[in-house]
Parts: sequence; structure tokens; C-alpha cells
Amino acid sequence: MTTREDILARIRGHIDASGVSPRPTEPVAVRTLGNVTQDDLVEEFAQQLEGVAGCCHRVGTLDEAVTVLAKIIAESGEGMLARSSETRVIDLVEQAAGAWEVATEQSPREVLLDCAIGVTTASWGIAEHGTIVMPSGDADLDRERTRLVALLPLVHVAILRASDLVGTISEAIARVSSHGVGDRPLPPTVTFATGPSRTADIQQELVLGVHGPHAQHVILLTAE
Amino acid sequence: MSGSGSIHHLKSREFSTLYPSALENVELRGALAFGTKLVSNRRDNTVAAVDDWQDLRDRASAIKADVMSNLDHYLETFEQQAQAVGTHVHWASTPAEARSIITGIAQQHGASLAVKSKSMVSEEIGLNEALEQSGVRPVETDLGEWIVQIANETPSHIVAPALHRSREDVRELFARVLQRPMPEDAEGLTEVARLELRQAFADADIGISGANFLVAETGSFLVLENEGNIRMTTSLPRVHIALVGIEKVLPRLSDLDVFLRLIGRSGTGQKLTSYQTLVTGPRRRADDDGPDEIHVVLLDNSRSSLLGNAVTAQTLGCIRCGACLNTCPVYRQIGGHAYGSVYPGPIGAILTPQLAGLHEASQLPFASSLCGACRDVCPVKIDIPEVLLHLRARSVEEGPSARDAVTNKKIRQQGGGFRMWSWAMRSPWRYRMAGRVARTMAWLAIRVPLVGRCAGPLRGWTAGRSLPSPPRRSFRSEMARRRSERRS
Amino acid sequence: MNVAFFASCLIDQFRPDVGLAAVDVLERCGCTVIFDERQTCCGQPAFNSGHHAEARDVCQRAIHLLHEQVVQQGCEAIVCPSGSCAAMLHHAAGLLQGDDADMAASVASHVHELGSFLVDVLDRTDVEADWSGRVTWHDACHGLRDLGIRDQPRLLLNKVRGLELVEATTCDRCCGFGGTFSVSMPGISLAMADEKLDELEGLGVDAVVSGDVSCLMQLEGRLRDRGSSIRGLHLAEILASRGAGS
Ligand code: SF4
Repeated sequence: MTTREDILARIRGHIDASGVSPRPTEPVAVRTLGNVTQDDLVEEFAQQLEGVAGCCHRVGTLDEAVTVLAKIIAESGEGMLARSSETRVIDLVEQAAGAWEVATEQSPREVLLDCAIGVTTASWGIAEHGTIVMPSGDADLDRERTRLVALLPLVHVAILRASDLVGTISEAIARVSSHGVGDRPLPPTVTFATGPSRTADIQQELVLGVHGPHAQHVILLTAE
Repeated sequence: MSGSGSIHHLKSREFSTLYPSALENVELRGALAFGTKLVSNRRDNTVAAVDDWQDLRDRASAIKADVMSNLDHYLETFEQQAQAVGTHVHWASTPAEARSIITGIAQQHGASLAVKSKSMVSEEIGLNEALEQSGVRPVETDLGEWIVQIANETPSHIVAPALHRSREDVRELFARVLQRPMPEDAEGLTEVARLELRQAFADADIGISGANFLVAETGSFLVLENEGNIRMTTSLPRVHIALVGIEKVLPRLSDLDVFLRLIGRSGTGQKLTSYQTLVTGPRRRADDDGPDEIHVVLLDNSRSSLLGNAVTAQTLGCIRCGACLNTCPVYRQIGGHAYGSVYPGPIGAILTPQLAGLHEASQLPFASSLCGACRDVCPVKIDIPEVLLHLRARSVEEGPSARDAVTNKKIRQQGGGFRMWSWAMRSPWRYRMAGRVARTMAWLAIRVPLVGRCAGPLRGWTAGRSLPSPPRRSFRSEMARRRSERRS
Repeated sequence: MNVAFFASCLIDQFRPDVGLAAVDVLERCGCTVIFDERQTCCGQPAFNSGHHAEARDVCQRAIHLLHEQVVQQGCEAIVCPSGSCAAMLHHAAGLLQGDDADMAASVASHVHELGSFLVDVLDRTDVEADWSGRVTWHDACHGLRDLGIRDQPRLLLNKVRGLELVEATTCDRCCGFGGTFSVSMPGISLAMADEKLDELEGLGVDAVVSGDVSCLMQLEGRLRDRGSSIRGLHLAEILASRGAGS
């Protein structure tokens, strides 16, 4: 017997010996926040994100987003910015980057590791937690590469459409799931990010920014 | 029945000497009291804000029961789905098998540096030593775990590995190991660690993590964290290995909602930890980021034997949130190292003897007042006191082969006592006599110091507690007197 | 109402005053209290230590006697002034087998801890007690976590004339007794007690009140050793009081 068969046989043998019969559970319905409007979702998302030390910037259109991004960049002094290759992101960065050198997701890792700011989109937002959801490498979606740009720089700026907000993590999982129906697998990685990276490993003191971004900005486009 | 596995560097047989020295360690107890109180208060507050908390626990417990009643099926489904998305699935019965699978993968890729994110299973099998022996340098990247690694010790808590260390402690450690002056504050120290570890992330050939959940339906695994080191570990190196206990599988992707709502709140008092990374196979497009190769190593190490009994099978539902440690009055006094196992606290006291064998950790199930605080906080409703009682009974029933020297002595002594006790309790007359003897002994113990000091089991009672004078007459004789007074 | 009284061996032998106080309170509330002198112990000490064979014999005996009281003496309830022993009687069905287990289940449905009996069954919170002083409540673990007793004693204490109830943040933390645990690992047991007592001594209370004599022995024994003047009192002692006070 191979180890695999060995283990499976042991498991079956012990379950049979215990006399426990199968106790199947049924899937439950997707959990929602009830009857909420998009404005409610925006409000809740912003509040939750701020609650975990993230920054939510509500803007109408992409033009207003330029101002916000320019301000974030100005506040960060000088440095290099990394961006993904999504059209809106390219547009936005072009207008807001000013004197900053711009790297793309194609740049070598050493360059990305040196970037102070990373700009990407987020596919969905979860209102109940202020979470952004970023799938990567989904061949069918042909999205931009967000994985390293959203992770390596000290500051991450995510562009999110208010219409992509869902209420709960359960709804977000359902959205992720709908990308994996039939023969189509889920994207290789789906990242759920809620605020900046944090630790309390030294005497339970909260420190923001360890390995992931120190600051998490979300520019929420309410009119798109 | 259970417990033919092993746990790396297990020292639980030394519990009787480890815990007294922990009790004497003033600094340790300060750090423990501070850390456990803070986290458990945070947990209580966050949990209180969830209306359907009990329903959530019921649901989680039902899903885990579902999994355990059909584990082989779910593992096979997981394997099939994982393979379909290009993940390699390996099976290991023993820690040795798991170690050689992992070092084999590392060697095959000519790896010399591995970045690791905190994994209790990796501690359980002693993976770091095995990697070193095969020429791969393992670097722990979770801040707490890194502190513990450079201090050359083991974690003292399953969620907060360095809970036993104060900030000053950490500062001294960093200064000594890195040979330069260190900042005073936690923020500065964290920054030092971040910069030290960045290079490791950039250079690493493989990434190694555990997994909080495997999803059978989709062949995915989910890891959750706060620091971002797991995102780095799963994104940067070309090869990723997830080492996971076979009990970690869930039926459906949608089940994650229940567990994610429970685990952050229970573990750290956060509604949700900062990051959850759901991994479903290696990168699929040439121009995408992420590992080319993903391996999942499924470890049994005696876990399957726990399925043989409905009471012990509960143990496998544990999602390692750490809540039971933080609330446990025993853990709060002695900390994690005293348990001598990578799994300390209430969950450790039931898991350690069941994995490594009762004889290896027979004192642990007795190291509890059975207060039940752990059961109350457990997000998956594991009845830890019930399992403790079950293991105590097995220690007694299975005889000396199922216990270490300390437990053996204790059970032999108590066994004689309880046989006499049982005999006395089965007759009102013998009971009255025994009661009179006990009261006389107590009376003597107070008045004659020598009796107090030498009176066998009483000694443990009289040291540190002052007995009240026992009553002359028992309740039953007072009642008899009342009755005759009323009659007359 | 006819009530079978299960005293518990600890109260019987070491705190008879608590047992008598409990009987007084029950009688004051209109109950006819029947104490069967053949009763001894519920079996818990051996059960919790893993000595199930010995525990089973003792427990079975207790169940038989209590069952007889219910069936033959028409007792509608079994009241025990100890959450811990009441919890053991609740769980006895799991230890026993066959008919005994059935009998245990039927007994369990009649068993009540004293405070919970007064509030939940008799619907009484005011038992006309009078005791002046400042006290804090210690939630004994088995009463609290096995039987869900939290509000009942507080409701009762709040109706006692002259009594002031203050809450401790450590009210529901274990006192460290744990049966043989307190003897075999005294260091941990005492450290657990001290964590509570450190707070209690700062509260300025005259007494710590609980529903379990075992906890009280632990806490009082430790208080005395620390030279504290705080007393350990059972709920029944306060409820029985008609004006003695601290
Ligand atoms: S036993 Fe329960 S409370 Fe303890 S770590 Fe496991 S899941 Fe958390």
C-alpha cells in the first residue's frame, strides 16, 4: 500500500470503529446585509476601513481621483511608484505622478521592492470589513497583475468602483466562486486585504506596517 | 488506540519540573498576565458585538463534525481538485515522511534559502532542523516566530509565539544577535525586523507555510495573517510548499465565511485579520506573478487515530485560534513552555498526548481545574474538559504503560485512596466513620504542625492555605437533632 | 412542595452550617425538605480524577436513592447547595449504563442548584433575608458553565436587606480548587486563587459569596493565609440570615 492509501484506510477504519455515521451539512444561503443601498455600502465600507487604520477616499470620477492620488504622492516625498497595467490605473498615474519615476508590474523585483507607492485596482470591496479583494492571474478575466504591486511598496493605493462593493465576506466568496464554475478553476490567488499590514508580536503593542504595506488607501469611485 | 505519532523536542514528561520554575519566573508571569488578559478582553468585547455568535459556533461545529465523519472522502476530493489546478499533493504518515518530502522538493530545486511563515505543524515535525541538515537555511518571517527563532527557543503560544517576552527582552535579543544598538520602541524594533527579512524574501528559493483551511470543493488552501509575510512567502519564491494536517479540510468554499467570522475574533479580537490569501494552484500565465510550483503535504502523524472515538475526534476540529490559551487560568500562570510541547494550553493538553502517546504527556490532562473556560470560548465548541476527563480515565484504565513516572505514582496513590473512598461511600455507616476520621485529621492538622506537614495528600492543601477548624458535628447529625427536637 | 435535599459530602462533613442554612431558606419558602440520611457522595472526586470504576459505584448509589425519593416519597425537586455536585448529578447518565443511565436522566431532570431553584422554580428573588455588609459574588465554574447560573444568585443577593453587592472583574475566573488538582499542583492552584484575591482585597468587601463550598474552602483558606479579614460565605448563609450581618 502507498502512504496515501494507508492513511485513507486508517481514517476509514477509525471512523467505522467509532460508529459515527456521516453527518453531512448542507450549504447555507449567501449571507447579506439585508436591504441596503449602494450609499449604505459606501458608508459602511469607509467606516470599517478607517476603523482599521486604512484611508477611504470617496470621489465621483477618475478626474477627482487624480487629485487624491497626487496628494498621496506629494505626502510621500520623493521616490518611485509602481503601477499595474489596467487602463484606469495607467491614466491616473500618468496624470498624478509628477516628478516620480514610474515602474510597472513588469519591472524587475528589485525595482518593485524599492517602490514607495503601488497603484492597482481592486475587483471587489467588502463593506462589513472595509476589505478589498484582488484576484490574480485569472486567465479569462485578463486582469492586470496586482500581486506584487499591491504588496511590496510601503503604500498601496487601490482603485475601486462603488458598484463593485458587496455587503459581506460571504457575498465576496460567492463572487469569487462564480469565477470557478464548471471546468474553470478559481484564480490562482485571491487576496483579501483589510487595512495596512500590522503586528502585535512585541509585547502586544500594535505596530502598523510590517512586511506588507504600511498604509492602505482605497479610492472609491462613486459615479462609475 | 491513539498516540503513535511524535512531536519534535517533546518535553512534556518534564512538566512537573517545568511548571514550578515557570511559576518562579517573575518576568515571565508579568508578560503572561499582561498579554493574555489584553487579548482575551479584546476577544470578549469583539465577540459580544456579534448577535449570532452561538449560531456561528453551532454551524462551525456541525461542519467540523461533517468533515470528521467523512474525512477520507473530503481528502480525496481535495486531492482531485488540487491536482486538477496543478497543485502537487503529497501524503505523509509520519513526521519523518513529511520532512523527507519537503527536503526532497528543496533539493530537487537546488534550494539554499527557504522563507517560512508561522506553521505549528512545521514545529510539530521539527522541519527547520531537517532543512538545515539538508543544506537549506530556513528563515521564519512572522515577527514573533522570527524572534523565537533567533533566540533559539520554541514558540510559547500558538498564535503569539513570543508572548512570553517583554519589549525590553526583544530589544536586548536583537542587539545581541544583530550586534548593533537597537531602538527602544516596538515600532523601531519591528522596522529592524522588516528590513532584515526583506532580503530573505527577495533571495528565497522556496516558500513554506501552513494552511488554516483546505477547501475540498475547489482544491484551494487559505492562509490568514496580519503582517503580510504570508503574502510574501506565497508570492515571491518560485516554489511553494504548504504543510497541513489532514484535519484542516472543509467541504465548500462558502464554509469559509463561517470560519473567517469566528477565527479573527477568537484569536486576536479582530473582526477579520488583515489578510486572507486563497491559493488555488500555481500561476497559470507566463506573465503572472506567483510560484511555478505548489505542493501541499498532508500530514497524519496519528491524527487519524483520534477519529476512533466521538469524544477524541472533537480535538481535530481545532482551528488553532489560541482563545483557549488566553482564557485558561493555568496557561495564564505558567505559560506555554512549561507544557513541554509545541501545543500548549488546553488544546495542547488534549492534543499532545493524543498525537505523541499518553505515556509521553500523561501529566498534561491532569494540569487543569476543569473550570471549562476553554469550552466557553472555543469557536468550534470543542468540549475540552470532556476530552481531558476521557484522557484521565484512560491513564487510569490503561495502566503504567500509558503514563510517565510522575503520573504513575500519583495514580497509584490516588487509586488506593479512591478504592477505600468508594468502599466507604457505599455505606452510610462507613461514610459517617470516614467523615469523623477526616474531620479529626483536619482538626489535628491545624493544631499539630507535624501532622499538617506530613499528612500525605493533605500537605499539598495545607501549604499556602489555612484550614478552618472543622465542625464537631456533621450536617446529618444536626438534622437528626432537629428532627427529634421538632418531634418532642 | 416536597423537596429532596442533596447535601453533598463536603457540606455534610465540613460546613454543616451551610446545609442547615439552605434547609432554613427552603422551609421559609414553603418547601418541605426531606433529607435521606442514607446519602453520601455523588462520586465526582473519583470521576474527575479518572477513576471511573470507583466513581460509578458511588454515583449509582446516589442516583438510586434520589430516584427513590422522587418516585416513592413524591419529591418534586432535588435541591443541592452546590453547583458542582448538581452538575455531576446532571452528567451521571454518561457515566452509568443501561437502566441506571435512564434512571440518572430522570433524576437529572429534577436536580436544581439552590439559587437556581429559588429563582427559576419557585420564582422567588426576595427570601426576606437581612444581612448588612458589602459582598462580591464568585461564579463557581460548574454552576456557571455547566448549569448556566449567573443571574439567579445576583437577583437573590440584590434583594437582601442591608447588603451591597459589588462586582469583581475576575468574578467568573476559576478559584483554582479543581478537586485533587489543588493538592497535586498546589503552586498553580494557589496562583490562580491569588489572581482573584488581589482584586478582591482592593474592593473593600466583607465577604466573598459563592454557591460552592469547595471554592469557598480554597478562597477562605488562602485569604486566611494571606492574613485577610475577608470571609468566605455560601449563598445559603446570607439568604438564611435574618439580621446578623458582617
Ligand atoms: S481548541 Fe478551540 S479555542 Fe483552543 S485553539 Fe482550538 S479552536 Fe481555538
